[in-house]
Amino acid sequence: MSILETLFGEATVNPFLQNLHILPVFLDIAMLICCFNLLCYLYRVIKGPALADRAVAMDSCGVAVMSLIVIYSIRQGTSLYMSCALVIAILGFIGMVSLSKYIQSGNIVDTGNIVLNIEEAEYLKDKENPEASEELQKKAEAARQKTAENQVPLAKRQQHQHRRHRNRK
Amino acid sequence: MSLFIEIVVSLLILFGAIFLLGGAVGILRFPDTYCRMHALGKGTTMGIICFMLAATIYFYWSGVGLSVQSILSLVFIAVSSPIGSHMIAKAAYHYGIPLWKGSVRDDLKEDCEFIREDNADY
Repeated sequence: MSILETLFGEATVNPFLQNLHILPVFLDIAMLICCFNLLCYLYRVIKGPALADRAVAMDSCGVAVMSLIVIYSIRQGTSLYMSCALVIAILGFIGMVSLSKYIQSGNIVDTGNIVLNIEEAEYLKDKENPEASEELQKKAEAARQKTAENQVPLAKRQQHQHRRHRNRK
Repeated sequence: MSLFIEIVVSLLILFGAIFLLGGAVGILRFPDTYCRMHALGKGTTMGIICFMLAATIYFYWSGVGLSVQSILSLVFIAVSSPIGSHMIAKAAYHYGIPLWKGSVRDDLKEDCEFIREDNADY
């Protein structure tokens, strides 16, 4: 008989676990520790100064929920809940990868950008080039505007790098 | 024999909880984004591996059967969690989050400078 069971009751009684004496105590301790961990991660999600802190802490919230699911399924004596843990693990990994893409480049999937060929870019390098056709110049101008609209985080990042470069000198 | 398996499962649960607690204390107390990521990456991976091992042993022992989902999630977490932490740390570095003032070495900075000099030639 565990402490939490006497306090809050249990949905279904697991007869296999009732015969044991060491495991229910450890399950209670682990459950309390996981709840405390979840509170710590939530504190970092709210407080965290950088976006990366929040991303990592949110992923760890998923891990804490997974461990709570494992403890609960051991208490209930069924392995049906483990598929929930598997789904949380997969979604956490996908979220982590897409958030890292977002932090690094400002957008997750590069679509809708106008792409110039290398030859075209070389051709347009000096703006006074009279041989460049109007169509090509319009295309280059549209591409410049598009990147200026899209990549505000990229400009911010370059500012950071510039500042670090200056501080080093 | 039954008592031995019970003790093994209990110790695995306790070790997993202690690893997760170490990660949580690290994310509360460490001064830097990279230090916090370091604590979390190791702690959560090791903790969830211990939990999943305990669940697998317990389900096989108690007569539920071999729980394939817990083994699968163990392998998946062990492979994917370090990759995710690494990608987030790399993205944070290239975004320009500063290191802690007590940090000793920064090897990636020199590599980035080499790459930048190479790109400046073209």
